[in-house]
Amino acid sequence: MSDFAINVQQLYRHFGPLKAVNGISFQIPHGSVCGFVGANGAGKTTTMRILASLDYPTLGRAEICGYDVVSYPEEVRRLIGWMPDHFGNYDHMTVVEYLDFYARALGYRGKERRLRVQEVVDFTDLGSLAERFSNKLSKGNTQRLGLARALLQDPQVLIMDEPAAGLDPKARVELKSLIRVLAQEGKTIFISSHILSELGEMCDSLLFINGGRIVHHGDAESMKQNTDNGGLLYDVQLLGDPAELASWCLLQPKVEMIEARKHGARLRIPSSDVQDAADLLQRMVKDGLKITEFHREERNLEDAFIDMLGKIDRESRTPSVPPPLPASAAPSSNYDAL
Amino acid sequence: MELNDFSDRLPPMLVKELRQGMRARTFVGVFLGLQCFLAIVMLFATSATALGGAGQTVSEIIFLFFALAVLVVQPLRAMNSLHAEIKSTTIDMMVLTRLTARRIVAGKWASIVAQTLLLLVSIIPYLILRYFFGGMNLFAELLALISIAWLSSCLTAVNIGLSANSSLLVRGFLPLLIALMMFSFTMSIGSNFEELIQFFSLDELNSIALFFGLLVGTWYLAWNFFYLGVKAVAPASENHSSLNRLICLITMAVIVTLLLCCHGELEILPYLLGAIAFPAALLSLTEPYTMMPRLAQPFVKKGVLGRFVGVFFYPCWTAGVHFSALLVFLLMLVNSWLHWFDSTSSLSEDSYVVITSLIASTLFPAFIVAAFFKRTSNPLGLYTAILLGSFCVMLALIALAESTDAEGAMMIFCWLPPIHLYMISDSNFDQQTIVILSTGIMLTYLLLLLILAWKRRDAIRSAETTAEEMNRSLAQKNAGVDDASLAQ
Repeated sequence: MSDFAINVQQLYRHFGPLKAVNGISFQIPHGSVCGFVGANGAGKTTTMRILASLDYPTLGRAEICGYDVVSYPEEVRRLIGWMPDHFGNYDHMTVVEYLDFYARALGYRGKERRLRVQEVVDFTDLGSLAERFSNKLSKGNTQRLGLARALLQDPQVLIMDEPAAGLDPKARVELKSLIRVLAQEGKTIFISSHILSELGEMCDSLLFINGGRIVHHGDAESMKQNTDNGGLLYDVQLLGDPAELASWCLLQPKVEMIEARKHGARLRIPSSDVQDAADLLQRMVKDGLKITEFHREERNLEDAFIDMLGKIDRESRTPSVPPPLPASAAPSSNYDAL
Repeated sequence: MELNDFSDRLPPMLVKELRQGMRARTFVGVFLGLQCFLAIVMLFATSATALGGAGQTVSEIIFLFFALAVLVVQPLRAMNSLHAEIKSTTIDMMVLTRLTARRIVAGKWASIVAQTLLLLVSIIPYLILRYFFGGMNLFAELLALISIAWLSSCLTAVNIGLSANSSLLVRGFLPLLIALMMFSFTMSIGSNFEELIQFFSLDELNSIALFFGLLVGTWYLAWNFFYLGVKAVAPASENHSSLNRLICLITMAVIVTLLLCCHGELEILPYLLGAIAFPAALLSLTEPYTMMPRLAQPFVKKGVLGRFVGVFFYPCWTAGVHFSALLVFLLMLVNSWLHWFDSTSSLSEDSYVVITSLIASTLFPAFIVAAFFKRTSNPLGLYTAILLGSFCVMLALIALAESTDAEGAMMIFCWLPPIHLYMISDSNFDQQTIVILSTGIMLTYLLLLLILAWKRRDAIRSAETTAEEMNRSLAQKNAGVDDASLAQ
């Protein structure tokens, strides 16, 4: 058995000039839950599709439990459960018929097939909807049906692309608890999501992808620390127009407004000294802002995510002019340069 | 939770499609409509028996409505079937099961055909009733009904294959065109009923030969389009093109052998071979430009011979052009052979131009796509649009030239291959000139395609190099495993 459930080495996927995945490498051990984070178009879905053997890499290698996804797609498909971000359901087909079709397609026969369908229906709590047409389900129930389908062959590795997208809070909590149960059963779960706080809670590690490259791989705490620019975060609320606070912040060199809120804003001050926070509050009051609340907030994954994007953006904007070559090293002609 | 409605022995795709299809309004509507209508017809016929001649009228009505249901409506139900699966990404989930692309497409086809057979079986009671009216050629009528069902299954395969394409022209317009043709054929059944029954009685050797020829021809056409659907659904790492091309060559060889052995009419040989070559050339010329190294592995393993065969059989555009050039060469070889060695079967100038013009018409869209639309994601859709467009332009030009008496001006458009079909039939043009012109245009497009293929030969070369490395590392790995097992 391979050391890693998922092993990706120098993976590239180019669509013409677009470099959707640009040389990523990472490993995920067996039985761990890994969150895959990135902005839209960062390369998450492409990577996941390659891992699910639905797409192929331009270059590089991706393995599931030691099986290369290009050379051994059949073996890979027996090991994984794939849950895409959105999927269509069939007309004129009930929930059990839908699951029964996939169970048949996966090779289950007779009693074993019926038993397996019953098991996943029970696990995902779809029993009351068993005779409903699958294309008439709510978004939350459709996701549960998708999870039930992905679990039919009892996969070792579960690849879930944005499973919580479009779900209401209740359905999200239900899905989260299902994933937690699966993690306890020892399944390797590779999950992408935009809801970072939830990922932080349930994942052993987080992979951060941007522009087709992995920019961070570690647990939630290390991600928060690595991207921490220092300083403290404060939630400030006031009476009156919150725009006044925004204008006030613009005039303060040492205050950064992170997020505008309904009755105020979320601010960052670069210093970690609480005395500076006290001075800030004093200045606000002095300048006529009617502050009703001023309290410190913990740094969360969203902050880390935004900070990381900002850091990458700043780095990419920094002009990278190569230093001039010393006269002795400079090529004397084009031929030499070649 | 009851899931015993279908046996485990049935293919999963068939079970799924039947569960869905039997509940679909189209099928239920057609089934009930046909039953009600035939019941009413029988009722009226029974009361009119005394007048005589009711038997044949009943047969005609049964044939008309059965043909409408199975030749027009049933194939149209396949129109969007694969595209709907691709669009809703359900195809991805199917591919991840143990279903192969072939089984997925076959399941879709089989379910519609099963419903067509259900319609066929459901009209048997009416045929039994009709038997009592007298004057029935039982064998011929049954054979005709079965043949209609067979044709329906072939058309369903064609439409299923086309349904995988993202272009509305391919998956929407072409099936509608076929349905329109079938509708006009169905409408002519009443007036040609006696001839139809005469043909299906298979009394003459010619009718038997034609009947089996049609069976094979429709099967071949359906098979080609069926694989078009399979290719669209299959992962990029599967090769469905090489076998397709090989079967085309084998079919051509069988046809030539049969005609020579049976001393058949050799002048139809180029047309038959052209009809066989067209679908294979169409699929070859719309292959993707790139090729996965994995697909070259089995060829490279066979050494120089394997690589040579791969030049024509690799599943990529470059090899597709080489294969099409081979087909053109074979067709021209047969033409020359007929001309030089068998003067009795030699082609007339008209027939020769028809053949070269149709070959050039096949090559022309491929050249336009490869030269000007390199980045298109749907070469088949674009190819079809240009092919249909070139024929529409030809019709427009003919209408314009004839209304203005300026047929001579058509020479300006001689680069458009379908125009040669008109030129050869018009007395204003010198036939010898048109023969040379048509040959020249055909060879020009072929040469241009070969030049473009030569420029893209790197696709094959890099795939072969990587495939060689992959084979080598696989051999080393296997040798390592052998050594380890020996050591143990």
